[in-house]
Amino acid sequence: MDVQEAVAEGTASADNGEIKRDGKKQFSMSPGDILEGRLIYDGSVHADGRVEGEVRVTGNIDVANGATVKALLEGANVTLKGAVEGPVTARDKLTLGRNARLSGDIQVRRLQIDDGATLNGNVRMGEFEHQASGQ
Amino acid sequence: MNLSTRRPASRLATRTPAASGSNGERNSVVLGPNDRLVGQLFIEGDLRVSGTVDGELEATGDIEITGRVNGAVTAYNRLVVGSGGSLIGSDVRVARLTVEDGATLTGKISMGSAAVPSPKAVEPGPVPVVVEATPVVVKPEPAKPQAAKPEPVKLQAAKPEPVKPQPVKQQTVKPIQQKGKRR
Repeated sequence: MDVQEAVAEGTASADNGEIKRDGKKQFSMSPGDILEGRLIYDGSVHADGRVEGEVRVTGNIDVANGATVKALLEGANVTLKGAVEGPVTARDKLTLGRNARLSGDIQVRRLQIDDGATLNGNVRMGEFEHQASGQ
Repeated sequence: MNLSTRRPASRLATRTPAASGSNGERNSVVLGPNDRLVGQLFIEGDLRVSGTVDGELEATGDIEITGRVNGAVTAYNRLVVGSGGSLIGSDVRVARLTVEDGATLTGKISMGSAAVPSPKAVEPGPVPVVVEATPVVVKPEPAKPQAAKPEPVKLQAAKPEPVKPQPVKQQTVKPIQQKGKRR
């Protein structure tokens, strides 16, 4: 997978950059970081600060509380605690925390929405069993 | 409950509250695991569905789904889809939404005060009455200073009263005598 090239496409200014955790890569952003562009990443992403564009990862996506995301998000497990505007695809599970605000269509295999979260969009469930099991 | 074989939806809705009257505060309707509703249902209060519903549900309170619902759902307050629940709704309008892990949810979700109509918010109508009263308030404003001025005037007028009659009597008497002498 052309991970290195894909990361270079984005204008991420994350100071932490890549962090290897249990052999799996994680792209971690801080509250003041800005990511604009397209990120295709073989690992997990912790999104904070401001993200605009498109984020597709093989691992999980975690949007921190206070983050502002206007992007397409696609990951295995997607956990939202901040504000997200755009379509979200979770091959396994999408979790909306109590402070999450999501405006966009979602396609998930499993869904959990905590009390207090806000969701506006179309919801489709299922159709990811083969892809999820293949990883 | 053994109401699953009965078709009329209204009977299901009216019989269940009596059975679940232990809640006390708000009206609550329960469709049990073996219950089935086909059609439309509007509830002033809470609704719990652990059976099967094919149709539209609307409740002014909370709706909790642990069964299967196929159709539009409107909850003025909160919608909870339990872990074993399934909601295949073309249009889901709720103020608050909780979906437990394991639940099935498909449809268009609209959340917030704009998505859910709030009939109670339209009721307070005495506001236009206040608008009509505003011109009335403007008129008495000039009347108040007028009423306040005469009070000190009366006090001033009361003091010169003993002084005035004396010069008036003298003045009126003198010209009459002078005129009378000349003529």
